[in-house]
Amino acid sequence: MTHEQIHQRLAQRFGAAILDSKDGIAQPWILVDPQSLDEIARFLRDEHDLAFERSLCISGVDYEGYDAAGKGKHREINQYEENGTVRPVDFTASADLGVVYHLESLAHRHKLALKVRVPRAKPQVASVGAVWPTALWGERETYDMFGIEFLGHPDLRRILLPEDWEGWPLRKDYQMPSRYRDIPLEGLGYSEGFKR
Amino acid sequence: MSEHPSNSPVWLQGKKPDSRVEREHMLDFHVDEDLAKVSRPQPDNVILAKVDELFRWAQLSSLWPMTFGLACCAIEMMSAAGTRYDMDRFGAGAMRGSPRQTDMMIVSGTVTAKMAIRIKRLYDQMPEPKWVIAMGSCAIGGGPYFKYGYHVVKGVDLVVPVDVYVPGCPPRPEVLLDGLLRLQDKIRGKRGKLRTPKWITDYLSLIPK
Repeated sequence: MTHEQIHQRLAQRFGAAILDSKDGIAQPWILVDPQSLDEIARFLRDEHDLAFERSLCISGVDYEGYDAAGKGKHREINQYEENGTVRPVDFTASADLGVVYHLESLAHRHKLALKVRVPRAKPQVASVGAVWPTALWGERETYDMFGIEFLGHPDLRRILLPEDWEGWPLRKDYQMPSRYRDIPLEGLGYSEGFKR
Repeated sequence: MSEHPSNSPVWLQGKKPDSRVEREHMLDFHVDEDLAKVSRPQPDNVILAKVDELFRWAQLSSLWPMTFGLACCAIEMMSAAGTRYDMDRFGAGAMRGSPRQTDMMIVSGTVTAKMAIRIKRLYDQMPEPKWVIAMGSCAIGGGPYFKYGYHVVKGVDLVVPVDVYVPGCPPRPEVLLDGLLRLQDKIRGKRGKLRTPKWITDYLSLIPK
């Protein structure tokens, strides 16, 4: 199926839950509502003409600085004043988090990128681990790096970082820790308390 | 049929070492010299110094490393331990699986915060005397993760004491072998200064002055 047909198929079934779609790029995507994500995922896997039986990759995205149309930060960067100070850019766009699911159908040989956007204040997405069991670890990694909570995940805890780590490292507002337990993590130029 | 080729490899033909001293220099190999030193009695030495020297010679001749790789430097370490570079020539080929059977830890790769706790524990489990080689830029000082590596310890010497630093990203096996030889020099007392083992300093601190 082409991307247009997949989009029509989903729009017929779910209507308003299909928010946006883009074709004609390297990886066409469909933006959906996070509340009905698990239903959409099950539909995508079980329908015979769609048959997305593989979840290739799950990624988290921090959309800080991107607008709703997906235009990026590279259009608006910090400007330097004449006296050398930095004039930061006021981003009018919403600073949301997102999750991208890359799906593949081996039977029909087509792929799809499924996107959801969640607010930073309450990042909650329905888990698709019951649909694709391989998604469980990807969701744990996304939780580990972005703090996005996957509702219905049976074992949602950190997978790469230590369990007592604080913060979500791949968020753009992440502050680097100075130490972990009693181990200094700052470089020598930045450390204040620790003397080599 | 052409002439039967010589037994020596091509790169050695025509420049064979013609003396024993020169061959030893090429191999950087001092065991015979050390043996001669300990077997020949020195009139002004005390016995303890000679036993110490014998022990040091024994220690530097069988440095057993721990099987312990963290990142891409470990690939070079495996290559150094393999047939081509053959770290076993210098007595450091017996990679042990348990830290309790090892003399030397080669920290080969990026030390993350999660791993640093394990490295400290492994180091504490090694018996004295013990030595540490920091291999590669990451283990020396954080390397490319110095500024933005939120999870990387900027140098393994913030966690355990390091005897020899081997630079490179990653270092070639020859460089690791050179680091091993420098560690042997250090143990031999030829250059550098060895760290006093902790149990000795603990014991010395108990003695009233």
